[in-house]
Amino acid sequence: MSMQQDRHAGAPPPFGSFEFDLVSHRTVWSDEISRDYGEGEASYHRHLASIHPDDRERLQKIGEETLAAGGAFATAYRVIVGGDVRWLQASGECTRDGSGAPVRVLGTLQDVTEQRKTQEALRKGDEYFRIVSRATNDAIWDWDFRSGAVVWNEAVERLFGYPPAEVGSHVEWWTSHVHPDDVHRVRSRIFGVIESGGQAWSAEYRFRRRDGTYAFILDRAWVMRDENEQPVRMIGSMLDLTARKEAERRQAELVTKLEAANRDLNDFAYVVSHDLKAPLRAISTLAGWIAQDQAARLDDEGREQLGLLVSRVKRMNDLVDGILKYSRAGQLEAEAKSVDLHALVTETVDLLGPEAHAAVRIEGRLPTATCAKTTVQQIFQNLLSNALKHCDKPEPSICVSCEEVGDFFRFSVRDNGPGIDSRHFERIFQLFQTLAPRDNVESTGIGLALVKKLVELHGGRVEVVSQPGAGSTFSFTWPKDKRR
Amino acid sequence: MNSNRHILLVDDDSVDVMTVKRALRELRVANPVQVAQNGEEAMQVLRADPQNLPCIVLMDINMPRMNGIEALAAIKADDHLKQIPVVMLTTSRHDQDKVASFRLSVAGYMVKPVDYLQFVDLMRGLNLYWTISELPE
Repeated sequence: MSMQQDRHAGAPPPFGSFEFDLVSHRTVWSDEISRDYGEGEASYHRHLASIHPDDRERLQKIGEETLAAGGAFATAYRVIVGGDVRWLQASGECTRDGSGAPVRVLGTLQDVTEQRKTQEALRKGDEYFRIVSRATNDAIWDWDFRSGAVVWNEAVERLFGYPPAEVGSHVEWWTSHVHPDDVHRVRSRIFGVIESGGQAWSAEYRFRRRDGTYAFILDRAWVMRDENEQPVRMIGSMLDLTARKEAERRQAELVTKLEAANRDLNDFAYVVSHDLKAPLRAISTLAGWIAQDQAARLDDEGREQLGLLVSRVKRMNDLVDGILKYSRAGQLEAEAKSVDLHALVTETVDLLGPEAHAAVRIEGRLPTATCAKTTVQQIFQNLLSNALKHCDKPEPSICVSCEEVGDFFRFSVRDNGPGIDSRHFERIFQLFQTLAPRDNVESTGIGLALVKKLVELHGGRVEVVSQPGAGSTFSFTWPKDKRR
Repeated sequence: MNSNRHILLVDDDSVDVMTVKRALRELRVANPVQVAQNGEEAMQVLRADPQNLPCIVLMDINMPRMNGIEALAAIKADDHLKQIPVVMLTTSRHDQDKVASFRLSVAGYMVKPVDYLQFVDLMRGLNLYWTISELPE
């Protein structure tokens, strides 16, 4: 008996060994097993009772087959001992007597619970790995330092076009595909990290695809070390940045083109306005001379006509200036800085003259905002001079105020002018639109269009609230923190 | 001007020429005014009569065929002409034009005002300066 039992004692820590005598129904367990199940036939039944319900039927079948056919058996099944589920590996054989009837079954039981857990964890790990691999679309590599072998996931074909047969199994395959300008840098860094005891490595480089083109890669990896800090394995993932790099390059190209176009427009606008103004100057000068030299020959009508001529020339000059300003609005802006708007508006009022000084009042304290000083100055200057120009009262009164609305400041310029009918609210912000005839109020019709353009360029909105006879309030929003 | 010799005005715009002449007349500047319509014509005129050179050249910049800067360069390169003071009289405020002119040793750079009265003031200043200042004979 013990010899046969020894035969099965080859594998590491057996739970124990057993022997069933089918004739006498005697059950012998080795010490380890009898600890749990006791002695004798009752112990056999106790063992059977502990078998996991899901495995019972299967074991029953194996038992019957073994008894019927004889021979060896090996199987794994679960038992519930003390509330815990344990996996047991049973193997053994059934011996027969001379007539072929089963006489004895003996074998070993091995607790393989830990092994099973590990296997399950590994299986789950593999599954996760495959799922992550699919999800990230990265080419994942696994470099075993001891064997020198590198294993790749299927993304190496998907990303770079190399079918499994063409993927080399050593690290030289990888280095030979790194761009010649990058390979020195990449090699020295990766070996540097491995040899210096480092853990994480990453690098950006170009990797040659099967078709000869290069992909931009971000490679990130982790070095695994043993208890002596010796590098054992390195696993990394390569992210294909090519599309992103291409987008960045195209964007940079567009920016350059846009800057060039802007410059062209600026030059064009300057030249156009310059050349348009030259004849205007001549007309104006000549009209002045005629008025002077021919004063005696001119009657009232003649003098009036010359006067109108000069005023029209001036108007054209203002329009040309206005177009130039409008076309350049927001283009050659200085760096946005933190500007004290209270000081800025005060300064703008001063620049508009004594009439403005008397009429304009600032309510409260205007905040500091990030902006290009000239831009905001242009906005306030236009709004304030508009309010002054269109005022129909003997004492113009204009109030500048500010309130916070979420991430924006809302600045308002309220006047006591004639007010505006709501059906004009949209039109007044259009280029060259004026409400009063140009002979009554000399206006280019550009100011509000310019304000709208500048404000919207910076992410704000303009608005007017007004009623005929009740003055107007023009307001615009400006982002609190503008980072250009 | 501190000289009896004539003034050479180089400008292609007839109204601008009229303006200069009228202003000088109002200022009672006696020097006769000779007109060339561009730099090329100016060089021809200057080289044609070496005994009868102007005391000063008033030079516009934007002209066809040879612009004011090129003409200035030609004058300063010519041994017989380089002592004649050249004053730019132009609408251009461009920094490049100013720098180019001064690099060529221009004697002054005036931007033509839009308003005629201001133009007269400018010419008054010009005349006063070149009356006080000596001019080579």
